[in-house]
Amino acid sequence: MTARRQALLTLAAGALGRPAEALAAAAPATPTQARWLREFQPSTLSAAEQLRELQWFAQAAEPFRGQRIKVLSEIIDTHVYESRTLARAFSELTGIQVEHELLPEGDVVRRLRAQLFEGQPGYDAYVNDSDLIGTHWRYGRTEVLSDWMQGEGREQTLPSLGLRDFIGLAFTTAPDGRLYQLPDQQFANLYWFRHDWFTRPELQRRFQARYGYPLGVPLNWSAYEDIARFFSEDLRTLDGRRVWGHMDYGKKDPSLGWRFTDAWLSMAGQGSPGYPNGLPIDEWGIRVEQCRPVGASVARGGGTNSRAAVYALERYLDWLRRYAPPEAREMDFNQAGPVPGQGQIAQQVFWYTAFTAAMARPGLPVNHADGRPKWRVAPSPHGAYWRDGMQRGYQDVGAWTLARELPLERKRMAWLYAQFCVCRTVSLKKSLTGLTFIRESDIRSDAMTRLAPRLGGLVEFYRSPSRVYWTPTGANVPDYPQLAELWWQHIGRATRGERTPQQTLDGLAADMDAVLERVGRAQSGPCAPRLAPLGTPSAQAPTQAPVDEKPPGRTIAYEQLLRVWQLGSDVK
Amino acid sequence: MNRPLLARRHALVATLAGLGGGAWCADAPLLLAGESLPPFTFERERAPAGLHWELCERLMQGLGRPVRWVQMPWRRALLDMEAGQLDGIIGTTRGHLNEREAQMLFANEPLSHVSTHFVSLSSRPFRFDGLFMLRGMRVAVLGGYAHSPDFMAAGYFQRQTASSHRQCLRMLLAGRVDVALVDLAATRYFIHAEQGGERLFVDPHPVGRGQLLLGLSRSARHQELATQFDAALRAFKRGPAYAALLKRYGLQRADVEALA
Repeated sequence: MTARRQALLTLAAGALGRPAEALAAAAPATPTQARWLREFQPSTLSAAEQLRELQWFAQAAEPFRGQRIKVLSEIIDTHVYESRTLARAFSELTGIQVEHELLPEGDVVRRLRAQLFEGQPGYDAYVNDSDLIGTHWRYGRTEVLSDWMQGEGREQTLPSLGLRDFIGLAFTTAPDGRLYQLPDQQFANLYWFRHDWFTRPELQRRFQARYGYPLGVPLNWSAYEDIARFFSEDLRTLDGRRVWGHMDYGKKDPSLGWRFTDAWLSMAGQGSPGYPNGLPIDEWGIRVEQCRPVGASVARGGGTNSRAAVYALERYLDWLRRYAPPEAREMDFNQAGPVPGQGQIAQQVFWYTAFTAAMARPGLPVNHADGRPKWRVAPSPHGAYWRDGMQRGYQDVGAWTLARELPLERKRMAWLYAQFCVCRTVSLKKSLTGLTFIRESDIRSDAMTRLAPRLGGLVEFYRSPSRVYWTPTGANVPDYPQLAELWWQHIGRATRGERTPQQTLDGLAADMDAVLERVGRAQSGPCAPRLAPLGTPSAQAPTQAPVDEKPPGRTIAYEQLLRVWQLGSDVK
Repeated sequence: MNRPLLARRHALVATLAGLGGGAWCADAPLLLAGESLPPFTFERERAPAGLHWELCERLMQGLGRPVRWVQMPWRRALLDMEAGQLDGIIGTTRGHLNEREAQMLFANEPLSHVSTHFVSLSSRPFRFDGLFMLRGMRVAVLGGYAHSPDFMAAGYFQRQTASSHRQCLRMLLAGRVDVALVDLAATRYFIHAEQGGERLFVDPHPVGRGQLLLGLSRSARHQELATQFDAALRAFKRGPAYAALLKRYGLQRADVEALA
């Protein structure tokens, strides 16, 4: 055995995942600790274990008492809870004042970039998506947490953190086998639909008569399109209200871009088979050789402007125009998220489960009076170019990230707060509030079992072995902030009718290549981008070869899908 | 494959086929396939053995249905099932999308719950706390089985494929790998039955879990039998004979029951 392997084994036997019982025996709770323990119920820890964790935080923070830190994350319910409740709790329990700021995701990425690459003063920690793993890994401007926990951050690392309990740890581990970010909230992109409408016998009969197959969860885009037409054009009204068979958003805004890099292209079938992302071509259309990005345009062997990508954009534009409420064209991610909850949408092809908490609120027309949902979630349908082995869906984890250049003391304080936001003492309560689960223990908890009937299949999805096949942007993307900026601006031209889909993606692919070339000059090493010569043959024939883009629609009964999530565990 | 068993199976299939399609004779022995997977199903002194085999033999006997076993790899068993040559498969699953339900009827009560764990030498115990901890390591894994895609896709450690759990553990004991990712019950059986087992450390945290079931042929109309077997298995697991059976294979209930 090599010395390195021995060292690793020693580390493995170290302090990373000791149970809460291993913490020092708790002293009696102070009034402040007792008050916050009441807030953090239910928990997967016993009250004594929770108290030990709180007291550990107080002790570890003692050298920093009276100081102040500032952190930034995007605007979703989970972070609202952190900002309003956990930041206050941490301040009262440790004496470190926390300003937990919330901004739209696009601004989070811009500010992170400005701090890391332009030296602008910013925040002591960020919750930013693991989509940036390729950026953090290549630039080395953020702390490597697996090293940090054994080094400068060791004394501030919660002994009962329990990393193995985090379901998204693989997303924040780079190809070098190092952990760069600590998961804080996780959500997937799934198909959303009105189960109560889909199961109405008269609607089932009409759909069957009109389209020749059962109304059910669509397995392909043909079926999705038929269902969209059925509600938006054939029915138009239901129970006296205008209804729509599709929902999306089209405002020229950063969130428009990640809609495409998250879902539209991959689910259309633009990209190679591969896990967690297509190889050699990922869902952004970037081609990599080994770990080196070599181009996004078809001319350089990529897929950003391939036929499959153009097909995705065509469908997006067509469905948005024909089947979604007209106001959707001027909405962004945050504005569009709550719309299905208003009761006029029959289905949404790509729905971020980060909106589950908002969707499950009592009193909404999409929920029964007793709180049970009239809606369900299911896997999103596949486009005509999709083949087995391609990405099945998108899932990302927002994760704590520390800028390397910060003063050590500030990083240590921020690290303490980051762990506080994900420790088991608070995690189940936070999960029940924001419904963006990060820990296996929370997902398997009795409290989650009791809540599951109100969440439309979300808990079943997270308990199923299928969940690992929903993956985020991978390490192929060498500079997420720069490349993501291109997408929304180009797609926005298509939504405004200024360019055709092909022109749009040709322009995007050319700009992607240009940015990759520029990034390649800023990065070094074997994984830095280096453009392939023009004329590189694309190995991604399926996305270029013509296929029947409107095959027969196929649907499946929701109950059958649910059983797959409940029982479909296969080791053979 | 064991030749005498193969010959017997073909003879049996021929005989049964002669009875006319799926019209299986009610008192004919059921032909069940299983792979060599100690301690669940394996051959010992030219006779079938194993926890799952004994459960099937004993409970089916109680239901008035004698059984015969044929050893074959699980993929081949599925093909033979599809071809109508088997009454059932011992230790199978519903398939990733429950697709095997189209061919098989399942006793809902699993023969065993299974879980995979990292096993290391007790002199250098490995406690799993995330895949990143495997960086730079050599890991023995069982070939032909689906492990977590995260585990299979990670490029920062080496996976070394073995043909059996036993071989994985032997590679570990020989120092050819740093850790082995193996089934818990198989490890317990290895520790029980083989030399060197006392040198192994089993990380208590499972990294994968599932169920192994008895699947019976849908075409042979074993619906009622599947239901009866399910009830008999549930009842048997509650009794003392089950604990005694587990003990013979070096197992405890916790090794083959659902994890909390």
